[in-house]
Amino acid sequence: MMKLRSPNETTRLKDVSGRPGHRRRGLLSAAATMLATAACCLGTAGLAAAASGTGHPAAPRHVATLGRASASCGGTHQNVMAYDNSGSGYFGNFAQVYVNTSSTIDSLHTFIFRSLFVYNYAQTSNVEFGWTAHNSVYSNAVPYSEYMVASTTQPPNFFGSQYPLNNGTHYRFRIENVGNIGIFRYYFEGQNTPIGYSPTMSFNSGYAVTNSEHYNTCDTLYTDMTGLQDMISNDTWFSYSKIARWCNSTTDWYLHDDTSSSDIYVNQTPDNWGGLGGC
Amino acid sequence: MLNRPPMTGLSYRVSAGYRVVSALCLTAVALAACSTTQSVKPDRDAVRNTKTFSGEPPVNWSQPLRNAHRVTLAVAGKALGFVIPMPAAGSLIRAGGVPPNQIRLTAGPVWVSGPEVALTFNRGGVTILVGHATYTNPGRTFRTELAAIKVGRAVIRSVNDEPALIIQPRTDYAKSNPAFVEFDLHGLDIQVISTRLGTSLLRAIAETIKG
Repeated sequence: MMKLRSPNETTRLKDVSGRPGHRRRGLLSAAATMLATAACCLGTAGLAAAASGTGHPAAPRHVATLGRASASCGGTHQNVMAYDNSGSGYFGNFAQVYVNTSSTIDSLHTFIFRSLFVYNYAQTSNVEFGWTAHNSVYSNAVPYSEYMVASTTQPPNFFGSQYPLNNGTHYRFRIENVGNIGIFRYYFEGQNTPIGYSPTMSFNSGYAVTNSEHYNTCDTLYTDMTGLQDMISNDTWFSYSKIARWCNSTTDWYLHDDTSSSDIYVNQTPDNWGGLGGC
Repeated sequence: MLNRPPMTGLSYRVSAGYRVVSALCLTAVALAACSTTQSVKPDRDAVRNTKTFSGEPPVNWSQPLRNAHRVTLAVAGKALGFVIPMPAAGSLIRAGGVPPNQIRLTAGPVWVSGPEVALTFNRGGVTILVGHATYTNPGRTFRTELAAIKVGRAVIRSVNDEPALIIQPRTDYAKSNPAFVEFDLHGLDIQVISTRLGTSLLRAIAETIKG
């Protein structure tokens, strides 16, 4: 195995003063050729990457380097959230949640979330289930769950590559409490068995809430959640009948609803309906 | 057999290095041409240093309940069907220690959202949430909460000889949770919360809430 050049050897290679002229020229020539070869190869690798269809530099590390991309992007945590204002005491929450396009996901500066919640009445505990992208080791969208207990945020749980999500597609996410024992089940698509569970929580019902979230102002908050339903008792589901803003901490993303089909969507078309603030 | 001058150690290393660089470059080009995935290989340093959770919107502890209405204490009590217990506002509450760990509470707005009341004090410095307890066994409920807290410094202690859940601030996964004391008072769940005070003083405040 060839020994790789060490920084010390590189330094010695450059420092050739005092050596015989012909050898110095030979060494310099070899070094220059080597550096030129390296530069050429790096350029070729870049061209090859472009030709292969990836069309962009290697995917960025998934670190929370907020606001790093350009002067106009801010590392700001923002949410746009809606809820069923027709009441509280819901044991479950359901929606078909849109997964953004591949071009959108590929251009993210950092992680985003699209999710459903059930909050307790004090709003200090909750369970959450949805999808996230550019998060941890996952570039693409993956389902995840999370929860909060007594105002303490707990670590997320990623369901990973077992449940691949195609871009530009809606997927069914359902949170459901069964049996009033404090455990919420997470159902993905039409599967008969949950893909995960919450720990035993101290509540069984509360507010049914939707969430669109980003941590960089240049990342999208666009979402479309259709067929919103919440569970009022054992396996009895009703469409959201009175959609209202739970929270909007942005100044340029707006919550819209379509009560005829129990849909909400978030975009940048101003609309006084949703309003701002409340977070 | 070629008649070449012998290679010195340095020139040998240069030559060897040239061959290594060439080989690495060819490998890099081949990998780049074949690569079609956009995934990043697991980078454990990135995972350790990455804030990956879905964060709650920051809570305004002067108005902690979303979609709440500001009301008077009397209206809140009437709406919720119970007399709302209050801490000892106005008098000095001490938690001991040197320098003195103490506070004098000044009542602020009262908020109602659904079945929950929020009492605010000292311009959001202390928030007290009151609602009907949805549990019948406070001790068991707080032990359940304790078990669910995987990240965070939480213990079960007592307030007025009743079990209480106590959580140290800035110890959760986000390193941003408030100090928190929760206990049951005659069927009411009471949560005393602060981003500015420690749990010992919150517990002293809780001890003054006697209904």
